[in-house]
Amino acid sequence: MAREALDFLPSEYKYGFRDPEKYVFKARKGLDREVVEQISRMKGEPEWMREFRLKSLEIFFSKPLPTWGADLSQINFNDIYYYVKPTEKNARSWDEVPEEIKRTFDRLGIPEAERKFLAGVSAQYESEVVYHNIRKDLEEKGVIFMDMDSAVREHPDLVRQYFGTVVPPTDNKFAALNSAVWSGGSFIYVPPGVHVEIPLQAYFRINAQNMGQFERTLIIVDEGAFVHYVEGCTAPIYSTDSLHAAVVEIIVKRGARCRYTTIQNWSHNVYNLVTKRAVAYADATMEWVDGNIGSKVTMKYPAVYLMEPGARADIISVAFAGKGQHQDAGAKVLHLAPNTSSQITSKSICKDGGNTTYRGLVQVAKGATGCKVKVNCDALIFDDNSKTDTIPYMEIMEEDVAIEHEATVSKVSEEQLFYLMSRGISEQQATQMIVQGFIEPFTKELPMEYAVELNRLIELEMEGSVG
Amino acid sequence: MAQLTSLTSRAALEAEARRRGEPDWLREFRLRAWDFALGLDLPSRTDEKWRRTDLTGLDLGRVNPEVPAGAPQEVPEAFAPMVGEGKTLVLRNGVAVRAPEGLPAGVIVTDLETAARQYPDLVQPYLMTQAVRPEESIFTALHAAFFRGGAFVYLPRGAQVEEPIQILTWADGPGAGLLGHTLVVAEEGASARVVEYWASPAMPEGTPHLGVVEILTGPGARIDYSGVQNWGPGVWSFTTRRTKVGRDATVNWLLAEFGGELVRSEQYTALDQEGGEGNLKVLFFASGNQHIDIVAEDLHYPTGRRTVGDIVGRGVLQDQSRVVFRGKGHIMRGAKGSTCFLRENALMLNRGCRADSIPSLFIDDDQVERAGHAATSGKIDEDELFYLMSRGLTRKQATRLIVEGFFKPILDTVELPALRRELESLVDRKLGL
Repeated sequence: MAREALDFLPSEYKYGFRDPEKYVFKARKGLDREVVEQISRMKGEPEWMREFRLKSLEIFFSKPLPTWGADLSQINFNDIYYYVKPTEKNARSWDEVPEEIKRTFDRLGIPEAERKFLAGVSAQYESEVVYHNIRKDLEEKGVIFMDMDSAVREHPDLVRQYFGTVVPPTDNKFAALNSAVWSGGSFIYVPPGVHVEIPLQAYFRINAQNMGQFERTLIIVDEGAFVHYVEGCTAPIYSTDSLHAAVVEIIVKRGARCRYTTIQNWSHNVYNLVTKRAVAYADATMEWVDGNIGSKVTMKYPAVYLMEPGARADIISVAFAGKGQHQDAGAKVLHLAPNTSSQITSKSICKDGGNTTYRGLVQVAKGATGCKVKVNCDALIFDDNSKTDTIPYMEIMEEDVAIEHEATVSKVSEEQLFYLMSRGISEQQATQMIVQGFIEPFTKELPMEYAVELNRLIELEMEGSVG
Repeated sequence: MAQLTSLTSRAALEAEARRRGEPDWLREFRLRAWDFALGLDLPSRTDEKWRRTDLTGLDLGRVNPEVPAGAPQEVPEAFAPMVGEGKTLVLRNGVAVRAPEGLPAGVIVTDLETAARQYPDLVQPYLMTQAVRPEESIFTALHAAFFRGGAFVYLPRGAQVEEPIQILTWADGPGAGLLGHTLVVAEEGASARVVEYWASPAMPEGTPHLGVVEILTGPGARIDYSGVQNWGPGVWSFTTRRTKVGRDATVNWLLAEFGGELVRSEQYTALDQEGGEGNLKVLFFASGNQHIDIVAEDLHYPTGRRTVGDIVGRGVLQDQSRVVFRGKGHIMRGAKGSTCFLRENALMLNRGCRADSIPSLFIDDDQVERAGHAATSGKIDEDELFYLMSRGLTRKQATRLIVEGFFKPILDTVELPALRRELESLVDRKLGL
């Protein structure tokens, strides 16, 4: 391929607009006990949650930054707003949402998406959920879908039973940080046997400069139930960096199935350090569909702990790293019971000096006989300023297992390009077709509207990549 | 490091080198390495590269460069069947007890201590200067300070050695036999096949072995190398091996780790010249309580355009053993048109063993010809066992056939019949047959 064909123009980030800051409350910058207590007080939380936060804060201070993975040395924890409250209350009807915030979500297409194909929507702006809605019929079936803060108040027993059990604050530094200052996020409970046929969605938006967003999501899918949850995220472009450190905990009970889809499209000044983990019980299925397009640095390894026989994990991810981006993403599956199975598919693309890392762990514990594991990692590299690393860890403590791992790295093949161009397709179109073909195993798992959106995003990122 | 002060002093090390009549440059080299080692600590488990191997109980103060008193200076009985074949050098406790004859003009196969005195111009430029360096780790630094015996293979420009060169190393007990160094130098267009076998009886638990193997090839040279490690139980073996592949040269190398109690075995193929090719095979069979930690890396340096690197790791685990296989292929920015492939298969014969594998790829250049890796782990296929047993074989015999089949592609590269029989019987002994 001609060299000049790969000279990328700076890609356009279409969600980079920002609103003027008009907040009802903004905590001061930095982090200490006082800020944490203030957050807890503002939210009128029960005592156990306040204590949980303070204990987590100590854990956060005591843990060092990870010494592996992406470079996090530029994060200044004292220069971040840990809590920003944009409105007095969260709205159930779109009309109640404050005008400026409404305009933002209108521009992002959220209300339109809700009318078209969603069973419920939650929209988070800065630290708080500002709009929230779920279809009446689902509510009548006992499905709970609300923001996490409301859930602490309205469903204290359910929350207290599961909160922090899948990802304890001691898990890692950023899980501890989230546990100390969390705000917003979704709480979902699906009662036994209920199938939520159309997706529930949450949309996360950071607007303020030097903002930290720390949403906390807890999903409980009871026996034989099904839910598909979709999240998207954007932020404006500032000259200083923002921090997003979410924790997602999922419990998939016997025979249930949960699919969690993320299209991460933060602007290129966000550190995205997220802990996502699910536990799956007998014959349950957990599916992570994880797309990482935006952010400056992402470190995220969606995990599934297969706790009982017959449990299954399916993790499919795509990472796209352009100029100045490092996508350090992957998957973790722990086979802790016999006859559990997992499949991991990872596709990564780097261009224009971007850096992608697949980092994964597959562990088969002693006694977990009859497990099946299949891992596939493919990477596409566009130019020699870019870097792609594949680091899979496999820890096998049982002999009666079938483990397969495969990975390939390739450049965009000149033969493929030549073939397409000989059919009258321009080089730019041909490159896009190859990229879209490469990530097709991922896009075909998305709801149609999202697949279209993702392809459009990638087109946008690739634009100008071909002369 | 504190442990080392019990080992020797700088003055004693210097006096010992003088007593042995070593050339000045070698004595200075040893002293520099010793000074360097004193400033190092044992690797810690917080270091990702050492996270999976516990060195608690390792006492490097037990490194012993002496020849055991009264050790016989003859070919050990265990090697009797093998010495009749190939061009054979036998080392017992670091002393050459048999040297090959009838080598082509200019070809040198001798023990390294003798070579350092007799051929300083051929040894000094290569000994731990281009492939493995003393500063790499505390193990290579101590090795440099204390290595004994060892083997030097030198092939002048264009030399071809038809018969395989065989190096057999035996250690009767703790001492000089566990400090061997292998240095193979092939000048432009030279070629040879080299096979190496290390063995010993059981030793006291925690007896350290510090080994280094260096293979250097000039333009267009070709070396086929096989090394089989079969130290007795009790030995804690630390070996660093590296080949530096010349322009359009080829190194096919194979390492088999069978013996020892705790084994850390590192091999690196350094490809920094255009068109170089390095194919590395690593074989292991871990049994009992063995812990075998293998590192196998292909390094395509920026100057190594159109280089080819291939790594195959293949092994069997049984009993309570544990194996760590850390493979890595790194195509650095500039190494255009290179190929890098890693494969690993682990066969687990029973419950209770553990196999960790980490086959990483680091790609910094977009003009990769091909890069990938594949890994599988699992147990013996019950259908295969059933089929063989239905033909009248016992379960043990059937298992043996399958394991031999698993190792066959690698055993086939060992062409000296006696050594090959030794390897096959080693596999059988491991299987308890």
